[in-house]
Amino acid sequence: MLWWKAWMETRWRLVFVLAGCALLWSEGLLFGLPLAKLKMAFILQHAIVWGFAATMLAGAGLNSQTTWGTAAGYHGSMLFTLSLPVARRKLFAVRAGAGAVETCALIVVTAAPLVLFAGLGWSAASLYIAGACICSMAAYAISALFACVTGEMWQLYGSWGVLAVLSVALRFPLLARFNPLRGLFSEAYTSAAHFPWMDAWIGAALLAALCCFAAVRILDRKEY
Amino acid sequence: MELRINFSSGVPIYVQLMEQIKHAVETGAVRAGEQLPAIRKVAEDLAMNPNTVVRAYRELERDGILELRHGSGAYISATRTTATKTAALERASGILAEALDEVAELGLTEAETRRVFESEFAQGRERAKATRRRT
Amino acid sequence: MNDLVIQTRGLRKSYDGSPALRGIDLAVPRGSICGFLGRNGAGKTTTLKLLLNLLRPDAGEIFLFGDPVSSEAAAVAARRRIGFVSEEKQLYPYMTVGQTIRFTRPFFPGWRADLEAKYLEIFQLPESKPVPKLSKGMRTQLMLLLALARGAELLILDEPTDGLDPAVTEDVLQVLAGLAASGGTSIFFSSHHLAEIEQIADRVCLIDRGQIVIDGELDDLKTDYRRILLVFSGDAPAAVNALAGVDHVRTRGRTASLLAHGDIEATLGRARELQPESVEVHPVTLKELFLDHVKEA
Repeated sequence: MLWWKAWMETRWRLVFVLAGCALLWSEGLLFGLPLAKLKMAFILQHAIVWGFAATMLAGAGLNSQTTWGTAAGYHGSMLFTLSLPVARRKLFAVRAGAGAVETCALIVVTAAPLVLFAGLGWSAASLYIAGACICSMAAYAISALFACVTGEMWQLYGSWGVLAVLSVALRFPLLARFNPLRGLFSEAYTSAAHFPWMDAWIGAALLAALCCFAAVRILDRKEY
Repeated sequence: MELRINFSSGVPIYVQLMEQIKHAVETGAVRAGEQLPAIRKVAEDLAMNPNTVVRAYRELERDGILELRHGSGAYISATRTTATKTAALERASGILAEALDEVAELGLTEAETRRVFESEFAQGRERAKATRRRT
Repeated sequence: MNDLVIQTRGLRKSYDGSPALRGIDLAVPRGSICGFLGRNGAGKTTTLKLLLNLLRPDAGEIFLFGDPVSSEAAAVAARRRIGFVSEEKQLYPYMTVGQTIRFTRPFFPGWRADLEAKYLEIFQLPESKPVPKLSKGMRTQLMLLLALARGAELLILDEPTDGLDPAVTEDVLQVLAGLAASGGTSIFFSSHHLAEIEQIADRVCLIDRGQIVIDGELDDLKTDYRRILLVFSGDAPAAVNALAGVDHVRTRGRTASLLAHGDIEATLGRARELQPESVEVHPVTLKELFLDHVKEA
């Protein structure tokens, strides 16, 4: 039932992001740009949407304050959730897991047109999709961590802020190597023979793990 | 049997319940041998604490007013205590009627009289408690 | 063998340096209905949240059903046997009444479908109504249903009749009384409605500024406390403030109102030594006990 609850909490956000992707596709189709030019821009735009989706789908409802003042309050209901015989870690695991699954599903589904339009081969495409999933998990985990300490508004602002910093860091060779965003944006995907993004994957996985670890520790001690 | 409890009164609720049940016996609303409602039913109907009902029933059993039969409930006992109590009540009624007549001659209102009575009654209880403690 | 369903020792909690609880020792026996009173901000909700491990104490121990609640695992085990109604009565805004019940059910293997049906009927809760559309009173009733239908051994309720009309309040009190009578469910509830506490509780616990000032059986409290009214021919003597056996004194000109505790007869004797013109002794209501204990500066 916790999975169902997580789904109920995130379904509209998922729809919202899917709508965003649909807009992207329609833009491409409407303006009928030549597919070669379309390719990279398309990939980039999708990557941005995926990063955005990751932050949106992460961890709403784990916190006790709301800054958006939703009428009947998600957050007061945390008292109800926590009065159930469920461990906090399990709550976090399910909530984080559900959002992560949704994010990856979103990526897989919306990457299909990329494969079709961008002319990537299946192996390169599947590598890209895998990479996009792993790297967006870093964005996801950052957002989930923010969700543990702040309300919904600052969760998004905070995680976008961190992502913005990471994308600026991409320009500096030293900071770019393990940068997860590199796994989302790099042009190197276009040739399957070239694997520069393994470092980015490692960086993403480490960052995600670190954020999750921190989130769990925070939740263990959190007061409601 | 109509039970009306004043929950905000200074009189303990179990005492009120006991008095009301005794009164019901005196007035014949409940007769010897009849079964009283189950503790649970009384608690639920009056929305009051079941332990209080238990206490009232137990004290009444100790006073000989009712019998608690294991498994079937509370029954009014037919003992001589009931008869002597009626007599005592009648006598008390007479004593108080005379006293009230005397007090009325002092020109106090009903409320004033009641206050003095409650005060003396409470003090009397304290004296009795103190006497019991000393002996 | 202690049969206390709730026990705390030396419980302390501060928020940002200001103390909310300063050493709380609770002892609630199994099967009792214990009313938890106090002014707003006295520490009631803090105490209830500590019992459920929603907050962590700064110091002290908590025992539920005789077992210590020091880890999350122990707290989860305890919560399996507890029903809770929070102060704000908030549930999930994206669910209906029916969905909320179906969500809660699987957490409790001892869920009583008969009680669920019974309370749905008593409280007249429409299953397809979304939770945000429920009034506070109906949300309270839904939370009570969820707490009661799980077959909990202990109910921890924060202001369970807040916002309910008198008819519904009576329904709720009847339900609670019935539960205590049949299953021996223990109930620990906070309330501002002293009349209800007098009606249904057998124990009372009054907390003021982070400390317990009264803790005992309601019947005993009513017998142990008395109000003594003294009228003097001149202004009430200062000695009246120093009488032993008196918890609280209020003087106004020639009258003194004493809240006496314990050996009332002895206190009366001492009061009479001050040569009042008149002495009256009255029983004390819960409201008077409450006000006298919390209004001291």
